[in-house]
Amino acid sequence: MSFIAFREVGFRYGEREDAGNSILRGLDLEISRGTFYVLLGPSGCGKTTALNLLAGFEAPRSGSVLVEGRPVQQPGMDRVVIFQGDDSLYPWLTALENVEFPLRMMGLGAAERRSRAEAWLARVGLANHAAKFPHQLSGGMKQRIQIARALVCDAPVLLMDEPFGALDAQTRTILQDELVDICAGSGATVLFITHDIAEAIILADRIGVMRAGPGSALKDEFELDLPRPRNRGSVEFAAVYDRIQRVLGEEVQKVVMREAAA
Amino acid sequence: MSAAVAKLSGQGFLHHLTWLVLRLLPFVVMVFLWDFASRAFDVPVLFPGPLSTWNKAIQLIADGQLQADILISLWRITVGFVVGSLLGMTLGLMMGLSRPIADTLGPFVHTLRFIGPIAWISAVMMWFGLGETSKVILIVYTTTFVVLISTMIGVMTIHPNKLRAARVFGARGFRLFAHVTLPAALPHVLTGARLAMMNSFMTIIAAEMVAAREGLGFLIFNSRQWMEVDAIFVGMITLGLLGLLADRLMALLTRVLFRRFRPADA
Ligand SMILES: Nc1ncnc2c1ncn2[C@@H]1O[C@H](COP(=O)(O)OP(=O)(O)OP(=O)(O)O)[C@@H](O)[C@H]1O
Ligand SMILES: [Mg+2]
Repeated sequence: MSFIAFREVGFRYGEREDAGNSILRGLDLEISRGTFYVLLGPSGCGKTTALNLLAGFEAPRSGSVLVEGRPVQQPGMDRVVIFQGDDSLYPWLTALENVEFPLRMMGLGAAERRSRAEAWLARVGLANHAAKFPHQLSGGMKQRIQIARALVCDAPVLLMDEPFGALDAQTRTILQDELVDICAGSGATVLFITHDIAEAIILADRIGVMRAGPGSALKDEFELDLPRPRNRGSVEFAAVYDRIQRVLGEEVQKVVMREAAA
Repeated sequence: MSAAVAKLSGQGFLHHLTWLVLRLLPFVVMVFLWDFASRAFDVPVLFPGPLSTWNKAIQLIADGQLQADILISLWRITVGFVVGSLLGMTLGLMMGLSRPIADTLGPFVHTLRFIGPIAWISAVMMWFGLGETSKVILIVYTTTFVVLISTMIGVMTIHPNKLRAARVFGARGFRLFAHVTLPAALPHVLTGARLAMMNSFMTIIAAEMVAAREGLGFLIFNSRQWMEVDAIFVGMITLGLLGLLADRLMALLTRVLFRRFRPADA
């Protein structure tokens, strides 16, 4: 029995029941404990939707989403989410207070909250911005608040939706390496969504590529056993990149052609 | 060049003085135009100039009448505004949070809010007479709907990810409301309250013109009978200045009390 499992999952938004309306159809996906799983796929294929199902924000129309064999019922601290974009931050709280928020909900005392939140802010490089409000920070800094807010929970499962999408290339590289360290240490199981194949190869134990929608499912999977830390310039890296690019490129091409035809 | 920029954007005394003068300038221009127009019109009784209006104001203050009118009007607005804001906020939160409540009350609220307070004056007058109650009720009425609508929109437009994040962290029910829904909607509530303040000023004048024996609206309306246009002007200008004061006061209060919850425009 795998730790996380999508079994024959079907999903659509709204009630209309036609093929064009279906987002996911027959999605099968398994993630074993401690695995860093990266999901790739053309824009709009349903990656965020799949993550929402695992987070418990939406319920599958058919099939099931299981964690340790039990169907996901509702969101919870065991599956912490880093959302696409920065809308999930609380603009009325400072950076530090945002990171403290989950600990406050857990009922921790003020002193412990503060010290744990400060430690994580420092780890994402925001120690000097603790008292600032989100609107006073750059896009990349806001994203790092979100990362700190998720990691402060010490959750066994992390769901990350393009967490580095808005960052500059340098910061992104630094945070990728940092994330590899953090995950190696914590043993967390990660579902990580990205559009960046190189990022996927740096981070992943396993990579899944989704088909173009509607009615998307997994098209192909890649097991990555390159030794870590992975060298972005190595021959092996380039070879894997090429294989994935071919599979993903085909699907992206489908979307592009369809858009052009419409 | 940088020195010049520093001078223009500096925080010094001269800088503040410049801004004060700039802000007063439109008022000064207005007074001159008014004076000119009044002289051109040449019937001082019908169109008094700034000077005779000023003299009238001094006289009304010496009688104590202007102060009394100001106080009574402000009192009515304050009571009605506070009660109406609380009522509107409560209803708006309920409608924003519950789809069934919004669907049930929606059509009713949207019908009622187009029957403006002015339309109610006659009926309210007959039921509650010329006393305080009728005026306060009208202010409550006008405030409630404005605050209600903007609170409801505030709740409905909270980004779903804000609520989802809180649910991930275990917030449900009242804690979700207190820690996310309410603070996220607060800027809309405050913006609504500020708009409602303006409506309150319009409503009170209308109500006092029709149904009162004191207040600024009464001053404006009653002076017509005695052809005291200068007193009408005094009432109008007082109204504008009080409104400016109220608006600035609310902006200041918002900044001090709700620094974190800045409405989009303040
Ligand atoms: N709330 C919603 N209501 C209706 N349709 C939706 C909703 N959210 C997403 N969709 C549709 O579902 C499909 C999948 O969306 P999703 O956000 O899962 O894509 P994605 O793979 O995450 O894309 P991206 O890489 O651009 O983030 C899209 O076609 C989108 O139009
Ligand atoms: Mg997405």
